[in-house]
Amino acid sequence: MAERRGWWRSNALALGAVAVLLPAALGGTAWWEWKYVYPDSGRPLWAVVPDDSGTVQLEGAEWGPVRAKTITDTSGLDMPDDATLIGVTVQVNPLGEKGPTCFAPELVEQATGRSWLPVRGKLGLVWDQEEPEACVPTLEGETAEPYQLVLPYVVPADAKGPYWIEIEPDYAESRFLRFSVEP
Amino acid sequence: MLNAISPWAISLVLVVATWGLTQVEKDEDARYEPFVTRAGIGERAETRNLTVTVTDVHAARAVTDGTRWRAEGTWLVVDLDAAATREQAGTALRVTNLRIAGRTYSATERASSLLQVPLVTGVPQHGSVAFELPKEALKGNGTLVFAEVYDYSADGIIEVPLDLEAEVQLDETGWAQ
Repeated sequence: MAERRGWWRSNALALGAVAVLLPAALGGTAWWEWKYVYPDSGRPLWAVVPDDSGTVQLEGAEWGPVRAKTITDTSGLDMPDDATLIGVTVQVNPLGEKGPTCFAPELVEQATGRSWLPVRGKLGLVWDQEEPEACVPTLEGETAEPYQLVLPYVVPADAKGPYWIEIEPDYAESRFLRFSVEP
Repeated sequence: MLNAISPWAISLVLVVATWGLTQVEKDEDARYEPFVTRAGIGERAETRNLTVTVTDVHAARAVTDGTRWRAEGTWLVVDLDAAATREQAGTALRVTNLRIAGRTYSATERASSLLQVPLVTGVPQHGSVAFELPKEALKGNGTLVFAEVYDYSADGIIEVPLDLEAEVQLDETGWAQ
């Protein structure tokens, strides 16, 4: 017994190092892998939702309010049969000198998960800088100003609200904006 | 006596069972095979995130996309409706192939066609894709293959069999639709 205690005592330093380093190595590797797979990948994982005012801050901008309505007067537009046109606007107020960047927001049917992107071109509408479909990048020498995203979505007649409008700003580390709308 | 026989009997049973397993086992590459949905002309076929209806097939000596592009040769033109079923982002008809007599032809990228056009979830778009073939290739049976991703191993694809020498039935006489 005395001999065994002697072994523990004579290896105390090494045992102490193992007790510290082993959990540190496991924890560090796990954290690194997790960070690589989740926030660094930019995959949309954590929804950021607006408060009662309908706005929310993320990536250097205040987003919202978001308005959505079904557009019944589609004259002049190249609209397919058995489909509904949903118009959505998203107010974007950059808080710093540079505005955020993002791809076009998605419209997601809450009941089924089906998703759509805006289809301005397919409706026969030409590009208009006053009606952007994706975040407006701030160019060199410019200062970001508030603007509105104008988003026409064509959904099949059987699609039903409520929907989510989901926006994934770049560099948001897997956080994305999610607004619930009922056109 | 029983004690002497049973190890042999058990071994024999195991060997036979192993042989049986190898008989029902699938090919090593089976895990890469796509999930095929087959449909005829005029039938709607649906796979993971793509639905296609081939509405018509024409053989032609010259094709044009109605803009500036025109080409002569041996062509097969396929008219179709296509849509995404779940997700619009990134969805397009990327694979449009025609298999005839052991060869695979891809639809031409020279024409302005439905190839690579972004598809809308649940709202079909209509258009055509065109295949240019060697002079004598347009005969026998063929298969159209559609997929929304280039690498469709273990993913869903749509196949539409074609009989290129099928007899053509005249339309029934009646009121115009």
